[in-house]
Amino acid sequence: MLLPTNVIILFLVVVPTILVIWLSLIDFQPNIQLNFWQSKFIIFRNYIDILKDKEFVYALIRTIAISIVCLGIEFTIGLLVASILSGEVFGKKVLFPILIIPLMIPSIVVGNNFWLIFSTNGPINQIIGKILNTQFVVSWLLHPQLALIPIVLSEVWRWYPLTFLILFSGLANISVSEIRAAQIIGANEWQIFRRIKLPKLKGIIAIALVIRMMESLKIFDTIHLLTRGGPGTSTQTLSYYLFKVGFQYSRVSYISAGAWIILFISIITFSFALRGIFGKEK
Amino acid sequence: MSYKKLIQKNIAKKISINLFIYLITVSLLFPLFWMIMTSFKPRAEWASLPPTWIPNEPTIDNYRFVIFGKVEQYTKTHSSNIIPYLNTVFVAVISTFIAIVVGLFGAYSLTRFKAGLSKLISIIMPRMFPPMAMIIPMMIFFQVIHAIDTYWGLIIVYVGFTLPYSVFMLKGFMDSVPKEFTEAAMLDGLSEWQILYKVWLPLIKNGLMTTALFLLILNWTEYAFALTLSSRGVQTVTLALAKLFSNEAGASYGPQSALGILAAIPTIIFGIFIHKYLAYGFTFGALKK
Amino acid sequence: MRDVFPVPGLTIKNISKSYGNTKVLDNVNIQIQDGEFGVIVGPSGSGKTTLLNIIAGFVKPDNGEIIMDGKILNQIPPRDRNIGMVFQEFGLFSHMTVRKNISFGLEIKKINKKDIGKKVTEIADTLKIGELLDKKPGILSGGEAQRVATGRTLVTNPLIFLFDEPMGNLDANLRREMVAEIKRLHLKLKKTFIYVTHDQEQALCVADRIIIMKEGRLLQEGHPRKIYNYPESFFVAEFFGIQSMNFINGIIITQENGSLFRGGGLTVMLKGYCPSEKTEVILGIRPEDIIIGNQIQEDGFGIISSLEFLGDINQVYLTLEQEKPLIAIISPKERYGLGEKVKIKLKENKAFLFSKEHGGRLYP
Repeated sequence: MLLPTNVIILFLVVVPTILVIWLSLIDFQPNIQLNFWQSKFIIFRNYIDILKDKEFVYALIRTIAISIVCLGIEFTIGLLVASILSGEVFGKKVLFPILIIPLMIPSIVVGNNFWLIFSTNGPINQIIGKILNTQFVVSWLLHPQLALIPIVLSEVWRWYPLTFLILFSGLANISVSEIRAAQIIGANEWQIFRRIKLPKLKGIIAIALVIRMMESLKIFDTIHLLTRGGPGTSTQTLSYYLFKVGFQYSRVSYISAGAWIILFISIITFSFALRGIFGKEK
Repeated sequence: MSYKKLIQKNIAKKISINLFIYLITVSLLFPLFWMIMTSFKPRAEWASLPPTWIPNEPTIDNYRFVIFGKVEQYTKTHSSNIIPYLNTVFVAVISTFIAIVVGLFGAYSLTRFKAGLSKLISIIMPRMFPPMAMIIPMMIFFQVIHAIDTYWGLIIVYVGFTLPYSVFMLKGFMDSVPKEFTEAAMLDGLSEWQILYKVWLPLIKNGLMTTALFLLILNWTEYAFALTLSSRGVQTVTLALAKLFSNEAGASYGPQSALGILAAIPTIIFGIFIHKYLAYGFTFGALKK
Repeated sequence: MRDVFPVPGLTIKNISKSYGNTKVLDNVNIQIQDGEFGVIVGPSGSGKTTLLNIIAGFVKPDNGEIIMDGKILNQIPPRDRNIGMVFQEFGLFSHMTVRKNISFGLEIKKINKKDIGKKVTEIADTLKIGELLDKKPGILSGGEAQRVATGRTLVTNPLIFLFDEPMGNLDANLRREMVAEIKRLHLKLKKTFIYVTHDQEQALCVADRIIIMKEGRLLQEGHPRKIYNYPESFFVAEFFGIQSMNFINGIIITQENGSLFRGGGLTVMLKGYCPSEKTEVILGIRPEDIIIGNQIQEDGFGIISSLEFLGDINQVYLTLEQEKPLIAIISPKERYGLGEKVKIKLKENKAFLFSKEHGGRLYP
């Protein structure tokens, strides 16, 4: 009864999806020819090519690694802050909105901001310099490995409030009676957390993880603003790679194939993950 | 443990927790602090060495620049940002609203009729797709149906792409409600719509608000589609921001930060407004009585 | 066999609590003796649950102290108070089996598995929940859940047991049974029980000491018999008793050695009651203390408006000169007809007088 409404809207997604499938199966390069229905059908050559492309594979691995690190930090901070703020804290009502603010700021703004902070003349270098008592000048964003730090920090800062919020809601939904019962039986905060709260949060955590992971894998704005994928390709994520190849080199079909591969991998991974958490459903 | 020590231990614990959370908050506030300070800095201090933490000569020129478009000191002019701002408000709010309502129905039917894992995955699928790859096909598609540069075109796209999240998250919150509540309602003979409205809504109020916030943020900060599917007609604030960041505007850090702050304010206000719903004193007991 | 250590009682001293402008508890002072079964009764909103939460340590009072065994508990968190509590909603851990629910208290104390198993079996036997051990709380019936909740508190051997309206979700018959079980438990454990309810029947049934609260204040406390026979206020008199007390509005006229009550068409002599002035009062008399007949020295007359046969007693409704009829209880041997006018006499010294103004008891 209620699903048809969903179907109508999803339809809007299906048509372009079909287009993308088509695109991935042909050889369409807008800078060479403009009408895509005149392109040759080359079926799976795009897929094979892209899988052989080292840059693509590296971008894939790099993206997954970045996502895992980001999620790890986000969830740790989110859980920590949500737990503390669920309890008795002085000034809770003021802290709460303040802690949420980073989520409200558009990614590009955050990226830009962190660019400033980590720039050679920025405050980070200044602070570290003061601590180490020397002149500290590191071009964070131009360093192949170090550049990942501002990227990760930028993402985490921007998104930790979401996990915080979701976990906070989840914690608040836990029946007060159960928590009080555990308290009066003699459990300390940690025991209550580990044996009552955490098990009950499993479902919520799983959902938050899936949602964040999906978004995280598509990370683009931050990369674009902070490093443009560089230096070289050392901070290139999947989305950035697709962007570069698709827009700058105009190899649209190629990246369509890439997108499908990413989707395929995502579906498999998430299926396993969700199944593991929710058990088998009919 | 002796009585006195017990009390002391508890006080120590309370103090350390409070201290800890305040330390975390301060360090988390730092980037925001920096951005606010930058937005008030005059041109000379934008990238000075050493960087100034608090502007020596604070100015609101940056704000005037981004709101109205022209300020004497800045050689490059820039169109007023008021319209893109309002556009974003309109598009984001409506998209979010629609996505929540439709998502609620979808989540409800999934929960009620025990949807399996495969259904869940198929709903989430669109979100797993890198937007970069969708852009060109979407552009083509939109050109065909004449939806380029229109409000409703953008709204439809936003709804379409946030709907999966809406359904997924709402279903998650619905699943965490114990069965007794809905069973009681069903025994009372309420119709499906009444159950949804009177029973479920109050129970997942906070989850609903969290989801709404999430969707609003996604829609508000959306960049890729706004870039490709609209140009002059329906500018959103993200596009305006992008213009500032691009090379043509030069390294105008001050205005960038200023517009950034302005862009963040509505969502912050929304967040503060609904934070009461975000789980203060949620009691199942109230419903029982 | 009594424990070597004395079982402590509980002292609630000057406890007050407000939420905003609402005063939920107003200077409450209660002393529960060691090993007593204390019942706190009162209508909803009287602050009973708040008081219990303060005793347990979940709520901090604005003023006053909770003292157990000479120690002030105020700054001690709930987990260190050595108190057991059964909550109104039971609060069973929904994600754990019954067995785990019960063993939880022991597991957190790092007691070894064998001992835990033994204790769980022991408690399961005591409360007869052995078959439920591997089930989850979600599918338990009300009575079963309540027993599990009680079992959970037994596990940690607390010094004092708190019960917060544990019978709320059960139907009447089950309630009586469960209350009796709790009383049996009390006799077996010989520990201090504090039981909160709005049901006066339960209270009268099991309590060693009844504490009556209304709107945050302590109205009266004492042994059930004393409460029943000497209610200190109109409210208390009205609240208790399986058959509700009859109330008649009237005035007092002073005489030489006592006074006369006039109201509802009755004139009742009250020896030894000499108020200083004419007062408006409410006379209270229990159904079992009204005598009707034709050969008695009457206080007044009434017309039988209804007869109810209740097996071993008959219940008779008498209309007087007031709206609400008097309810009297007579033995089955007495036969009367509807509409019959009879003489009414109130048993000597069984009438209560309450001030119309403040509800306090004026006589006896």
